[in-house]
Amino acid sequence: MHSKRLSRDKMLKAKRMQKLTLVCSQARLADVVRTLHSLGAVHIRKHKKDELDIGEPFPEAEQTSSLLNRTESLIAQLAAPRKDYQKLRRNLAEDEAEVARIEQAHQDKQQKISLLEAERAEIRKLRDVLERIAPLGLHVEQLSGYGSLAVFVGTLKKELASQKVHAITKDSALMQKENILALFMRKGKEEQIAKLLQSHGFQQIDLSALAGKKGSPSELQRSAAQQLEDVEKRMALARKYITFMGEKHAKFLLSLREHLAEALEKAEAPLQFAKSDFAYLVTGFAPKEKISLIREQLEKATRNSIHLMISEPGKHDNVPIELDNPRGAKPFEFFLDLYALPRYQEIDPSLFMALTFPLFFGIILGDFGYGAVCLLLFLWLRSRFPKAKALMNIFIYSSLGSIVFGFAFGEFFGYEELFGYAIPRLLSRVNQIDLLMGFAVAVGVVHVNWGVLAGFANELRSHGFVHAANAKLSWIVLEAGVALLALSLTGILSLHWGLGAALLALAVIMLYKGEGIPGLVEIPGIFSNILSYLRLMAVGMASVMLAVVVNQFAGEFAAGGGAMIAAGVLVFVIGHTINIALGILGGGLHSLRLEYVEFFTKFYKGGGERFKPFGAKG
Amino acid sequence: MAADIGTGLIAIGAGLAISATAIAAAIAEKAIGSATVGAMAEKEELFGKGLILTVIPETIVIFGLVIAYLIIQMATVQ
Repeated sequence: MHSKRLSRDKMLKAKRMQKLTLVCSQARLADVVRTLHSLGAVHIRKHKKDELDIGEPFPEAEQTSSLLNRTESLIAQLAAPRKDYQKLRRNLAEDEAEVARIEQAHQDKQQKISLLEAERAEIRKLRDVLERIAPLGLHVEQLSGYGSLAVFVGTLKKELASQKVHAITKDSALMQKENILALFMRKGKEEQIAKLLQSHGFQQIDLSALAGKKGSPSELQRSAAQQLEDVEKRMALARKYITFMGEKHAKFLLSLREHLAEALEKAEAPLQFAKSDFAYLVTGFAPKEKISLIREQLEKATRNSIHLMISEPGKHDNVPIELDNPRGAKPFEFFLDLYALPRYQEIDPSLFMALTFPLFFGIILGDFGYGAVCLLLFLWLRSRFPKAKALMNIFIYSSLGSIVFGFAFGEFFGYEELFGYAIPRLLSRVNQIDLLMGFAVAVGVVHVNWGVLAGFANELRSHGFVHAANAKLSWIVLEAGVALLALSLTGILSLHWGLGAALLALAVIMLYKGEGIPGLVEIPGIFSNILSYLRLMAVGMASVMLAVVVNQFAGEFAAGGGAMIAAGVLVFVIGHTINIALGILGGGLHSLRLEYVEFFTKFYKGGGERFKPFGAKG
Repeated sequence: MAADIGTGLIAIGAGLAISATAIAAAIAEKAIGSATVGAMAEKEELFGKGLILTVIPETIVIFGLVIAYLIIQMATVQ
């Protein structure tokens, strides 16, 4: 069938879809799922349980799902690096065995690391104790293990006079160095000594780490340091091995994950189908141009034993949306993703935005120099961040719009004349503000009414001529009425004011019939919307004035001569950079807001669901 | 436009018109805006509706702007 791209049905709308209804038996279900998945062209409408149940997943779903989980966790734990891999066809049992082997190896290494960490903690404890008792100069075996002696080793806050100890028990020996104390005494009067020590702020040091050790503290410290080094080395080795495991198994794990994810998608597919006692019912949507291929493949795969019905989507079907725009307008679909996708029967405004967004941005930023800088900036950014291609393309078109309006306004980095020659222009933003205001309002009138007309087209399709005219054309009649009334009252047009008043009355009646009271309440709204376009002038003027001020500052600095010229250049660069940044931000936001709030509200409903075909990649 | 007290007062009048309406709209949009962002944090799809609701008070500023303009016209006509 020969379909013209410009045919009324296809232009400015989302891709045309057909509704598929498929009935098959349990025996054929696997073939159907496999074919649909390989086609990757059908968006399946999930079945909600009504008289018909939803289907059950295939038996392998559980095993696939658990293996997928284990693979995912291994990938995370081993920090497997992203690598290119090929998809392999494998056997589920083999894969499970391999995954189990990798898990075991990982587990072993983790255990080893835990043991080493415990060892390290112990060595550290020993080292700390040794450090604390080192000043005493005693060998560690001298500090414990006595049959008839009690030993106190610890820190003191106040120095202890040995007389006090001897007063309690003569058989004692005291060693104090820095604030460490070692007190040896015959067993018997420990309690009194303890009290005495407490009054001096005594705190016992835990010597359990020294159990079974012999030698001077410095010897032991040396050997402890050695052991610590050794443990750290072994831990590093174990960790390195885990990283190595990650690299070694990355390809396998990543390709396995993708394979399993796909397998799981297919295995769980029946959950989206409706199921009766003996048959399955699949409902979906697919692009018109792919229908014959889909039918052919399904019938081939199931040997013609399924029932497939193709029909036009009904008025109340929630048809999934795939946007279909010419290459120039495609980047602007990004703005619809941000806001809401159109409904199936609605106009797709991407093309409109492609024409008006760069226009608005250009009017606001309107400087040939700024536009050129933006263009270079966004071209560079696009090459650096290929993922944000759509947004970068939008701004590249907008920068071109800026350059065009830079010529129209005759501005180059805020300068209105170069080397004494005035730049040729259509309109001077600095001197002809009134004209600029008029231009901005004119743009507003055109854009808003464009939206109203688009709304008329949408309503025409869905609710017929009368309602469409009452709901949308009434606005145009309203504007005409107000304009005529104003013009004839102020005498600019020599018409009786009754004509304007009559149109106004007609518009109010039409509006009331089309939208009721809420419509009448909106009447001041449309004038507010048109005047809102004055921001094109306002934000633009702010940008121009800032540029002029920056230039004046830079000029004054540079007039100082010598080193001041460098200061002048610095002021110039910094000032204009800030102004460009503000211009991009402000220009972008205000233009976008004009589209969303003043334009879309006249015709756009949105709420479409994105087309996500079963089995599509990515 | 001669610079006398009358002109000055007209200028103040125009300034008041725009600034009072701007402050009013700002207060209104602040409340709506923060509610919108809160709602969006839970449900991204509300961005469109939220944006439109947030800018509804702009009408007030536009009226202020028109009045300010008319007041300035008064000065130039005089």
